[in-house]
Amino acid sequence: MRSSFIQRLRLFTLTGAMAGALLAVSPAFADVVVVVSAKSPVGPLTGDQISEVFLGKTSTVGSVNVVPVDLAEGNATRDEFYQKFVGKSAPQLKAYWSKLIFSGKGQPPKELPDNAAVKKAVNDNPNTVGYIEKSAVDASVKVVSP
Amino acid sequence: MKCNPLARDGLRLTVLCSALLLAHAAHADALDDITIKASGFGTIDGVHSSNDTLDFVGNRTQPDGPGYSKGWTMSPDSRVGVQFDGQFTSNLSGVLQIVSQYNYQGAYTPEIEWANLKYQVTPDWSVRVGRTALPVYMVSDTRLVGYANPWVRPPLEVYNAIPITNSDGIDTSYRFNVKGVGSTLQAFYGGSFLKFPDFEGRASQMWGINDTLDFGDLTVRAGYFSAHASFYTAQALYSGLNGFGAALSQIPPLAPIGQTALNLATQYSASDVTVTETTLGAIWDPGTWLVQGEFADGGRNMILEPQRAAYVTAGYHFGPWLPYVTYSKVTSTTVTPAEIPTTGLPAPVAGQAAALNAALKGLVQGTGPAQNTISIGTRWDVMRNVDLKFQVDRVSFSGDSTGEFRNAQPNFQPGSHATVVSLAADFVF
Repeated sequence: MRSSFIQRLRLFTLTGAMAGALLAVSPAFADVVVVVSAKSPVGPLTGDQISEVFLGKTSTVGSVNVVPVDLAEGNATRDEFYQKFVGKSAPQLKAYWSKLIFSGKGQPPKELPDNAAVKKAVNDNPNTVGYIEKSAVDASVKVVSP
Repeated sequence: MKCNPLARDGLRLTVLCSALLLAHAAHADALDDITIKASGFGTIDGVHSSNDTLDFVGNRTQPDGPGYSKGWTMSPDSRVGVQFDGQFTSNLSGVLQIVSQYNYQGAYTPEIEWANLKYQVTPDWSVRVGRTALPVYMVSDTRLVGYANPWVRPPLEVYNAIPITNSDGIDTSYRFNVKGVGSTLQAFYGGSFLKFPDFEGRASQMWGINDTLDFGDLTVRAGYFSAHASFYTAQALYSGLNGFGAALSQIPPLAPIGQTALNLATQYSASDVTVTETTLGAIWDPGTWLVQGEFADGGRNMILEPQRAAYVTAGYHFGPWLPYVTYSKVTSTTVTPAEIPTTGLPAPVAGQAAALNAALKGLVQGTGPAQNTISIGTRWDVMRNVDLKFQVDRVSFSGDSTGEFRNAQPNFQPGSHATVVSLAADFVF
């Protein structure tokens, strides 16, 4: 009886671990976070501040200059970031930037290919703010999103 | 940067291009940091109008369109625009935008839409010199960029009132925050050429001021615009009136009629035409619903008739689809010019007077639009950078007006309707 309980416990744990692994690799559940350099003067940002910075509506938070960087168009993490923090789908975001680009009022953030490029960019310039998958966070960056 | 002074804008453009090149040369030591980005936009569409007694046009500079002159045609909204954005130093940038669309000569000749230098004085305050977009209405800056707008074209009742799209002069923009609400104040001063199929002219002492408040999902904008308009071809009419009046004044019994003609010439002298627009607009765009509306009160005098226009659009995002409904309306105060009395005039002179009266009436009544439109359409973001649109407009003409249409034929029925169907594809690159 005890051995079968342990067997069932092991089976349950194994299933749970597998499920956990599945959850971790499934893109639908990947979490996106906003990061800056670990040494950056930029502090924690509210959801509204993040939205304003990435839509080019402001270039300072508090009295600190912030420069946003994007992941490339079509990147799943980028789509998730804009849906979660800004509430815009990819075409809605494109139309938004078209209005600014083609009225000479602004340019979208610079685009980078992947998480590693974003981490390098925020470390090269402490005023840079970017977003990466939560799983890509390491000691070189700190999370500033709520 | 390549410059191509186009014949019509010769001197002015050469100056602008020289300025751009000078800026480039002056910062030759920072050559590594100069970046030039090219981007563009376009629309290809087919439009058909059910009423063949007059032509639908996409804007007042187009000489003809679907209806009487054409069946299905791409002329109303098809266009391509190319834009070069140059960043010369961290504070100095420039933009050149060239657009090809169906113009007043019935051709798609590329024209310089913008060419300006922008100096970022502080992160919130910028100044632009050169040819900039004329910001009368809420989406005036991007009225040519189909991809940026939900409809095939901004409602013509409002947007056709001021048919110029750019200003040569100076423009400034200041952004500030009031209790968490973003506010952008813009002011400009300049002039522009007026090029229409029937006449050419000049808009001068053109200035405007507007403020846009950003409440997150809600954007509200208020503005004021003023310009002096003069029409070269109307000068011929006034010369005619002056000549006629002067000649008649020499003949004592006909002198009073001569004086009437002289008075008419002075009264309707086109150089005194003042055009103003007082505008209010709002967009609510939380990502699901889209509700947008504008109101414009157009002050006019002399040969132009005051008008008022407004529209409301409501749409809903279903994934990549955005179906929408729009109601738009323009009304104008009818102005009937005084006439040269023809009774008591000898036949040939009476004939001249009648001709002058007809010309004056044509000049005045040709400018007062009155129509309303119910429009249903949908936008489909079919793939990245491309959208497709299908729109049906039911236009109803009011009074004697031919609305925003032109080339009305003798068989045009006042108060009739037109159903305009548009199929469009917009793209950005």
